[in-house]
Amino acid sequence: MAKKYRALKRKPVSEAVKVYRVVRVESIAVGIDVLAGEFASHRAADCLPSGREQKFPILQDGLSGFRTEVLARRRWRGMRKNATQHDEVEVEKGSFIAELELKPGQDFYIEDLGESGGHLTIWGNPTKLAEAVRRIDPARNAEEEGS
Amino acid sequence: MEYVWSDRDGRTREFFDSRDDAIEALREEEKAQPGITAGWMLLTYDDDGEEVGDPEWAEELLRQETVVSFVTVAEGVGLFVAGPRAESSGSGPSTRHGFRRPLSAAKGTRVLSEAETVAG
Repeated sequence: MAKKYRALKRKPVSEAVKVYRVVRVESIAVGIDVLAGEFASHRAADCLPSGREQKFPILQDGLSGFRTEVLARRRWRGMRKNATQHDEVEVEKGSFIAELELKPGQDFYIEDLGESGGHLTIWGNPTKLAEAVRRIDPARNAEEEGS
Repeated sequence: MEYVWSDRDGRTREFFDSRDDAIEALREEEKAQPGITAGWMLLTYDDDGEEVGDPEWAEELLRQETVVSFVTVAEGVGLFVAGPRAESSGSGPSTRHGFRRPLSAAKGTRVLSEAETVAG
C-alpha cells in the first residue's frame, strides 16, 4: 500500500509574520549578497528528497525555518547534539539564529504543518529573504555561554 | 505524543503520532534510498509540545532493527533445528519442552553441530 503523506499546505504570506532560521553568519553587516547565501533552497543545497518531498517536489524549492525563536534554538540544540554524535566540532548549518520579518507582496510562501518542533518550510527569493532579516543572534543561550 | 524525524540540518523530514509509525517510515525511507537517513534523529514531544528525553539516532534504531530481525530469523531457524529433535529424543533441558535452542550456547546447554542435527 502506498504511504500517505500529509497534504501540501503551502500558502502565500498574507500578513507580516516573523520566522527564524539557523544561519552561519553572525551579523547583518556581512551584506545582502553574503546573507542571501544562507537562504538557498533544499534543492540548491543538494539535499536528498525524502518521500514527502518526492511526492511534492516543490518542497525542495523551499528552505527550513521555525515558528518561534525558542523553537529554533531548541532544534539547534538538537543539531548540536547531532554534530557531537558525529564527532563534528561545529553545527554545519551555523550557530546563529536569524529573525526574518516576511511581509505580503514579496512572493513569500510558508508551509506550517503545526508540528510541535515548529518547523516551517519557507519559499522566497534568497535576496528578498536576506533583506527580510531583522537581527541575528547566537544560537547558544546566554546561560550556555557561561557553562 | 508526537515523533519527529529531523535531519542533520534541523529540517523536519516527517512527523508522526506513533513511534512505531515513525520507525516504520524510517525503514521505508532507508529502503527506498539507502543512506538517506544518515544523521536523522527522532525527537519526541509530549502533548504540550515539550521535547521529551534525548534524541534517538536513526543509525542506532536501524541497527537495533537489524539485530531484532537477525534474532527473529535465528529463532525461526532454532525452532526448526531443535523442534524435531525435541520430539524424537526428549532429552536435554533445552529440548524437553520443544523450546528453541539458542544459537549461542546458554549456560549448561550445548549447541547442536550440523552433523548432530542431520544425524539426530
